[in-house]
Amino acid sequence: MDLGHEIAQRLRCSPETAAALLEEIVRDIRRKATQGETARLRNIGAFEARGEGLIFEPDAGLAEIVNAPFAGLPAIPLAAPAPIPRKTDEAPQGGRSAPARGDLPSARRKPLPTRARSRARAPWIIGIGLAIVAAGAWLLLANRMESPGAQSERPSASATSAPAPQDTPASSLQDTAPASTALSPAETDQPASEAKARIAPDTLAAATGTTDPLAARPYADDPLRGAEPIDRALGGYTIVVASETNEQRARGWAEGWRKQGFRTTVLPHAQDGATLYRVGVGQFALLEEAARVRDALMGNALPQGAWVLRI
Amino acid sequence: MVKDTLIMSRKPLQEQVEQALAEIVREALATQQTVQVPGLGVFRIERRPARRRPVKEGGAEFIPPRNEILFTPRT
Repeated sequence: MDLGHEIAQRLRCSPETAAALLEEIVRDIRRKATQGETARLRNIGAFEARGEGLIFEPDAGLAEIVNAPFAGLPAIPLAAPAPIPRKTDEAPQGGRSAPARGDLPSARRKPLPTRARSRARAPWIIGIGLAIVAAGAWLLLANRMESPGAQSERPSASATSAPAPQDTPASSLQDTAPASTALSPAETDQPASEAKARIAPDTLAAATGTTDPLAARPYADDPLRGAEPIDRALGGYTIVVASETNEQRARGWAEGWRKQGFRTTVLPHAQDGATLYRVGVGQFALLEEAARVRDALMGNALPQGAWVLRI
Repeated sequence: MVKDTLIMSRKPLQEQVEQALAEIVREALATQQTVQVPGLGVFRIERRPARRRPVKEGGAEFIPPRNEILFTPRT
């Protein structure tokens, strides 16, 4: 960018005049700094001499402008993991018992005696064995009872168990479209292969007419994309892609992201007496999962400033 | 007398140039662009990503990302 030309265009003066005046301003800053004074450039910041160069301290207003995408975002405290209870003084007196492993410093840690180890493992082995037997029995029973035509007559999971997220009334959902507005590849900017992969689970379920009871999980198969609305009651994490003080504009952003195939939400947040509306995409059960997706897509599908927020 | 008149007439224009310079720098930095002021130095933005910081009381806190303004003086 030629600063002289840019200034000349804005002030409608000759580039030579603008360049000369700019040079004068810069010379004035350098002179003041060299004399040990603080040279202030209005609405930008202050310059001071340090060594042979200049140091710059930006104005609070300028720092605020460049951090506008993150305006009003507080630090989020993360709860400390619950401490693991340590076994102490539980051994019966006179009985043979190995010391708890955590009680010994790592350098002096000794392996447990073989009998103690086998005693400790016994309940686990029994539990795993019982689980395998139960699963095998269930599979056997299911195979015997299932006839070729029974699958279509069997009631779907949504009729017998808790309603799936698609059954949630639209009025109870915030800032999301009804589930019926599933996006076709042509309606999105995504490549056809990606859109196909995205809608594959729903399409498969619709084509086969079957509903797997195991698929009735609280979180969606694809946490980032799809027509399934974000259910704030489920909690989890979302990726914030925009923050606005105006609700309508925030919802406009959310609609734009939704049209690109993302699951969106608008989360209001009270800040200094005002309300900030954060536009989030996706709903992830784990913070790590959300951060991984954010890192993978940031700069491409997601903006550089995208960050993870607990819903 | 003539010199004084010239100085008087140039003063507002110099202020206007300073104001335009501030506007250009602010607009450039707000859009993450680098801007070079001839004879002074280069302004640019560096993004500090969100991070997890341990706290003394136990646990940690999630620090949101921020943009930092960096200035490299002309040597």
